Amino acid sequence: MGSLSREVDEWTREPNLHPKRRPLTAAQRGVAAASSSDQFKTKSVKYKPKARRWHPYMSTESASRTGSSLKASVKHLSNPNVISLGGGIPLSDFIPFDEVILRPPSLDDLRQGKKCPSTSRTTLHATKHDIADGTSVYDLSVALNYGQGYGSAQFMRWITEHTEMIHDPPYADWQCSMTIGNTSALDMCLRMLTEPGDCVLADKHTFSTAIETAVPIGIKFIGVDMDPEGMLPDSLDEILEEWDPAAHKGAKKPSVLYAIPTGQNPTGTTQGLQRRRAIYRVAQKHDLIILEDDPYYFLQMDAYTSPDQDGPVAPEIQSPTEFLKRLIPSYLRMDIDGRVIRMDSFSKVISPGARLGWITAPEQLIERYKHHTDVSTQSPAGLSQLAIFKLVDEHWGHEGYIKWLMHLRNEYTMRRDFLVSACERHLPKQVVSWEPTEAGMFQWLKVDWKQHPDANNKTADALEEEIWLESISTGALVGRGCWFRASSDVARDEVFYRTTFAAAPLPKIEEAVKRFGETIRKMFELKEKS
Amino acid sequence: MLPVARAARLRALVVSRHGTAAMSLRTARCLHSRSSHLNSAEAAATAPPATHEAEYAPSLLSEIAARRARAGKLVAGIAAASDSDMFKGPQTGKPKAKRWDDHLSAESKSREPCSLKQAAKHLKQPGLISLGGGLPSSELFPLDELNMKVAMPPDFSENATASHGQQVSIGKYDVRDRDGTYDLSIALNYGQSTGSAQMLRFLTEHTEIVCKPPYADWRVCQTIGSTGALEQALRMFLDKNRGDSVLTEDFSFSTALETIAPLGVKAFGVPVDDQGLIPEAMDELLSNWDAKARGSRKPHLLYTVPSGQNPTGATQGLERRQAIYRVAQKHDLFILEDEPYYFLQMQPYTGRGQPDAPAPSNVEDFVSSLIPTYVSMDVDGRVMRMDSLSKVLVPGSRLGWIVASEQIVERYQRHAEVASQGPSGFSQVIVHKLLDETWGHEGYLRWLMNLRLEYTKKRDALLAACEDNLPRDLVSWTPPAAGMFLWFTVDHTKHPGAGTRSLEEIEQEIFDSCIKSGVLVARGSWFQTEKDAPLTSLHFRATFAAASPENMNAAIARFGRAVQDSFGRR
Repeated sequence: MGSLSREVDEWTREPNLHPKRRPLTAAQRGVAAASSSDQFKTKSVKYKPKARRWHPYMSTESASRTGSSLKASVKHLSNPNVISLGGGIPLSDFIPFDEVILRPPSLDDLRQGKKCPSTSRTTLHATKHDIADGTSVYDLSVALNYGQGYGSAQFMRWITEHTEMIHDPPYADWQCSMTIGNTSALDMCLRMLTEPGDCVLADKHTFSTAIETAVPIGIKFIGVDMDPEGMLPDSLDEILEEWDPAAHKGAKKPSVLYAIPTGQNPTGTTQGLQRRRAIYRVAQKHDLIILEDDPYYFLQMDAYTSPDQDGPVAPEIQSPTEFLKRLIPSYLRMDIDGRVIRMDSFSKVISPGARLGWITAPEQLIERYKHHTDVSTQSPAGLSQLAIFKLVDEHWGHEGYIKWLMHLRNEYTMRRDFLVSACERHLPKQVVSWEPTEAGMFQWLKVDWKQHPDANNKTADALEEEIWLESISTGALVGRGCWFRASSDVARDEVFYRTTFAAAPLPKIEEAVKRFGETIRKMFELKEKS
Repeated sequence: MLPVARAARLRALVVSRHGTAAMSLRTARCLHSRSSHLNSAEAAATAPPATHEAEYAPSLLSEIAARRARAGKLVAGIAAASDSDMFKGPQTGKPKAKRWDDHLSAESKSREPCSLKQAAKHLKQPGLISLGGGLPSSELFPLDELNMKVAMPPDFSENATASHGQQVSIGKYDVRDRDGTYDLSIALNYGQSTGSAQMLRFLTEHTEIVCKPPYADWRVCQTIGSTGALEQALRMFLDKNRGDSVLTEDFSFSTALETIAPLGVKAFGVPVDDQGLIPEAMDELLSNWDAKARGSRKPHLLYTVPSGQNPTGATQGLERRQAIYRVAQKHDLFILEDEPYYFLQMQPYTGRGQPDAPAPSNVEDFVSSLIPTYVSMDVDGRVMRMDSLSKVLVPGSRLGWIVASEQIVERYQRHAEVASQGPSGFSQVIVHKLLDETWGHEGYLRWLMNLRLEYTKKRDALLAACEDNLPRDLVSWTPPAAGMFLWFTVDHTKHPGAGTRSLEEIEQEIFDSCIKSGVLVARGSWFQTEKDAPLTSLHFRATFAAASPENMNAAIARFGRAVQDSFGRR
């Protein structure tokens, strides 16, 4: 087991936004062409250790996967003289799209605050014969046909470079595989690493869809206590130290930790660097695999400064390098053992409708994952891959993508500031409390239900529901805290609501917070706001 | 008799004469009312005005158009929930589907609705502002517009499309600004696991045109393709702790087998002939099921590819399907009908140098010529049909759909919302623009009709190559009526190593020799359902989908030589 030798200096080393790309060979450009991250890494991994082996952790289901014999046979087609009568792949002649043209907004316009409709005349073209003509490495003839479960080689190259640039995993044999989004990736990873009856560790309040993914598989989540920086390493350690199968229907000590380290859903908490290191050390001590679900990684914001207070206002970020330096390192970045499966997604930063993301993990786990994709997702949608590839690879490049993320950071910071200041204006502070969120989309509100006139004869859950329904009747819908309890074991003595600043237009956010504040005042029989 | 009904009966006769399937009048469908003929001055002189008689079959396409007009503009914003009932025609007089509680797995039964969606029912309240769901604002999607050039009838060829294909455009705010029904601001955001209402409407109508389910509470749900749908369906019905297993053809789609095996359940093969599954064999297998000897309880699930089966290329005729359905009723099997090749039913093979069978002259004829689906005879609601655009429109869309009873679709949906989350929005909006807004139902059927003729040509080219290049005493095949595949049976008894070498070894030798000489064919053993059993026959699968006629000829010549070499014929 290694130690966390990397120091902060190293985190802040400037990433190279223009790596020397590895070329895509002719064979890698074709229909359903095989590829792997190793073919696209631009840095040497010679001095990095190999990842730990995870055989005993794999489920029977995953261990028995053999992959697709048909997809495996595609390797014979790397010889251009072989004529394929093998796979039932239609000719691109029979695909009725001749050309696809995308019009993205101009980043300059966005920076100058120009809203839609964008004045950009930039167009990105794709036809069926761009590869043959030499005008692009990716075209409709490839993107619209069948593909590999882990995605096209063209996109794998961008993803590998991006991962190397942002996370630079400290072990040698890391690999990526595209996914159809983190929800599906979580479903597949859980089936890879658990058997029915197993327990998985998670934040005490966690993403409800993750819980609903796990429960039907027969997995129980065990909630770890949290503070404003998210999961508490001591609580994690304690649960594992004191694990008694008898207290958990015979379940063995958990071997998987599910974590949303940045802008956690629903609490909005973000684990700082020291917190991440402490949790990683606990994971090392108990030999856990960490599922790092990090869709909000690039939605990290500056600290909130109340308009009412005199405080230092964070200077605006000027360059992509500066933007990257301010990001808290991921678990993947400190993963010297190869115990992290990181799940990235385009859903929160480009488009949820793309159903496109990727995982990064040791080769051994990626191989299992790829075998599963062959017999389930088949591959991410080619139309999504094409559109996003055109944008992030051919149009923006790595640097342009970071500039887009800078724009998002500004937008989300502005929205977060607006919601939090609306909370300051409209919510009664003696009952409702919050920590301004520093990443993601959510602001978590705690309601001191003990102050409610009926606190003695009603449960927290009953009051949470009453307040929720009353708020809806005044026209403000928020999320209920109880939806996010990791398991039924989590104490039911607190009342929370989740709000988001991502979706509604700003004036509506103000109005909704005002309505919610009025509801609280009414229910708690507080004086009207003066 | 009205001319429409007479035409249908004539078509039925034509079809049965070609031996594809005997079509009953009940299953022949009529898509267009012919009343427009009365606009012709000539017809007006002789024909009486149209009336509504009981026997009169209204045009389905015009009925659908009228239904849409009556329903008004479809308003479906970001992640709007929808179901097929919003788009179906009247289902009066049809029974409800059976319930399948005993067939479902523990995993599926334990699925609860998504808790975040509990809020959804409140969203109907006027004036409600939601700070509930973590959906990004569409303002922050970096795409203003998507344009494309698409093929148009009647000439769908690549050249015609390149020179005068239709330009179509999808804007970010077409719904708000251009009176559209679907746009990028909706499609690129989160959606429902059923897929968008816009696409669901088209697929529900398409299902009515093609399948006409005979029970009332059928529904459609979009999928990420049939591979994903199959995995979900298997997890829905199969429970390894219950000793479950699944029946399928004794040579079955390798990916399906590779999906089944890791679930810890067994697949059992039913013997097939050139029309696929043999119902009598299936009945016998089930009637004499010995759970102990088999190591699994009696199967309650059948997985079948009825048209252009992968790998054997066999197509079940109407009577065969009816017989299999009766066996399924007798043993209470649920049927997974995997039909990616349904619309690749081809013209009857007339043989070399013989005149071609007459092509369907219009979309009515085309739809009538198709063998009825299992769903169309599914009086119990015991079928989940899996449809896909992969083989007939665009594989890279990863877009398909299932048709099943409300209970089954609801369970499917519960899984999809915590797994795939539904198909890609890019795919949906692009395919919707093409199928719904540009082609319409009739245009899509014309596309499929054109595909039928194109695949007929490709199949005929492969058959010609086989006739020219293969040793007929060693290699035999049946011309396929549907799909993409030709299945070779190699007479292993004539092999010099027969009796001393295993069939696996001989198969490997021929396969390696094929690769060496430059042709990739699929090995029969990849498709063997019961992997533990020794191989008892020698097969290879070739597809006519992927190569040009010249390449097919060269490739089959290489395959023929590889077989002859292995058999010592040099």
